[in-house]
Amino acid sequence: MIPHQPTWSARLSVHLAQINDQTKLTFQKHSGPLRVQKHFPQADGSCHIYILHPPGGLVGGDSLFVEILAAANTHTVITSPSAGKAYRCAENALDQSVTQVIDIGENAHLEWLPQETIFFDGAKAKIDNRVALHPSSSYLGWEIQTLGRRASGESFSHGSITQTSQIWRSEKRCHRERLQVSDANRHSAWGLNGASVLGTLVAIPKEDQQIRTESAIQALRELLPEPCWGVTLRGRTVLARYLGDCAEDCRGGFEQARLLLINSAIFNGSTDGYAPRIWKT
Amino acid sequence: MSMNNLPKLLQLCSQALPVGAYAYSQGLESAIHERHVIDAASAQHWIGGVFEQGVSELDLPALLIAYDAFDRFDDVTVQELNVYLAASRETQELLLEDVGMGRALDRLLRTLNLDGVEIQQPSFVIQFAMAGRHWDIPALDLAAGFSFSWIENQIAVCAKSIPLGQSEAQIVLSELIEKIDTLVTKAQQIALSAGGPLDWQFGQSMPSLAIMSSQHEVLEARMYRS
Repeated sequence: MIPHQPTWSARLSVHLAQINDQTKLTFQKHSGPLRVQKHFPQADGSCHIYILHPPGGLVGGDSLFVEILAAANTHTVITSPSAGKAYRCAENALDQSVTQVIDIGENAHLEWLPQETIFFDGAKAKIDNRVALHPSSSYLGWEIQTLGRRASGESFSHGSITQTSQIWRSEKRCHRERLQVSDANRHSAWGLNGASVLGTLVAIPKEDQQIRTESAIQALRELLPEPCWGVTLRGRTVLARYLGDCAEDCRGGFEQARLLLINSAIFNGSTDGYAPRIWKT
Repeated sequence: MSMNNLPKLLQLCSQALPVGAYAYSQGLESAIHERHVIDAASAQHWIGGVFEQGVSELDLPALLIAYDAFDRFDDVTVQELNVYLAASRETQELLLEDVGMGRALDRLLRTLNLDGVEIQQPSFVIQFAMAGRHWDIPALDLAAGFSFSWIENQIAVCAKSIPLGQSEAQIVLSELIEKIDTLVTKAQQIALSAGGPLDWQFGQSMPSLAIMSSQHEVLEARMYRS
């Protein structure tokens, strides 16, 4: 008899609107253990939001659903107060599933900057991220995945992770990728090459910013050195990728890259690039 | 396949097809630079791996979906698929490769009095599917031919850059083409279960190759454009 493990399904829906030059959280609804912990209107007109999953980690069968609707002209920065965790699942357990849907309105800018997700050995995670942009909106998002609890010497030797990310602009996909962590690609030189930390940063500038973006890419390449980093500008999409063994390095690189891109004025909204206060604690 | 369309398939898959394939290495030049690929055995391992986890997860299913869409005159799916492929290329140079070869094939087909599809940035995969459908080449044979061309081109990069001897290259080729049947079958299953454009999630997962390709874009002494 397998011990009973309670599973939770949680949903969170958040709406943002621009009121008197200030982005404000205008609606939130949650069911299950998932909620907005804090939201701070900033001096530069943006709104910082911390999304909290109180249990702190996912067991097999848990499912999270997050929906963010950012209205026209809003400027939103979303982060999480602590690392996400996907625990080891029993052999016959259901997947851990996370779905995140973000809709960004006209002339709005949204940043999705969660702390890292730690996948315990034996996790069975399925993560599906979808972002829809208006032609005039802009976006910056990153994801950091740590495989195994490296501090306690654990590697990710079994289990599976499938993470899909898709970004639509004007109902056409402008970016999609799929991360599959499996036996076949963990150690291959073209797959994960034995690395335990992966990071991907995707930025979509506002319209008509190609020249500024190109010069930002030059600076980004100097900021994020080989061999762990790769930076490219594919069409209008900025991509910075990390593959290595240090989540702090990845996070630090992303934070500097974020500031550089924001200061390049390729996004809507303020170019101050305030960092969420929780990052400093 | 009848004797009528086999020569057409051979024409489409020939290294003499003027689409500039010889100019691209798809990350292999970086792999040689980084010494992941140093001899025949490591070349076979790398090419086989990228074929299995890259080409057969993205390009081949897309080729089969496109073929089927051309068969049904489903222009919407063709256009969506072209966008999907562009959004799936890991780097700028990999996108430029696909579109560069796609444009070259489009020009060639028009010279051969075969009107292409009106697409702004045509993927080579889409154009290849269109030509194959027009010449009545069976879908799975077309996918096998596409795979053969891809493998042969990768081996040509190794022959020049490692280098490999001609017989050595043929031994690697013989080993790798053994994989084609199984992986085309796998690609067919992916294509059949992919659903409609909004459901598509198929694709490759090669983070290290993506980083190597990004670095290749600024590699000073490079022979290839990808």
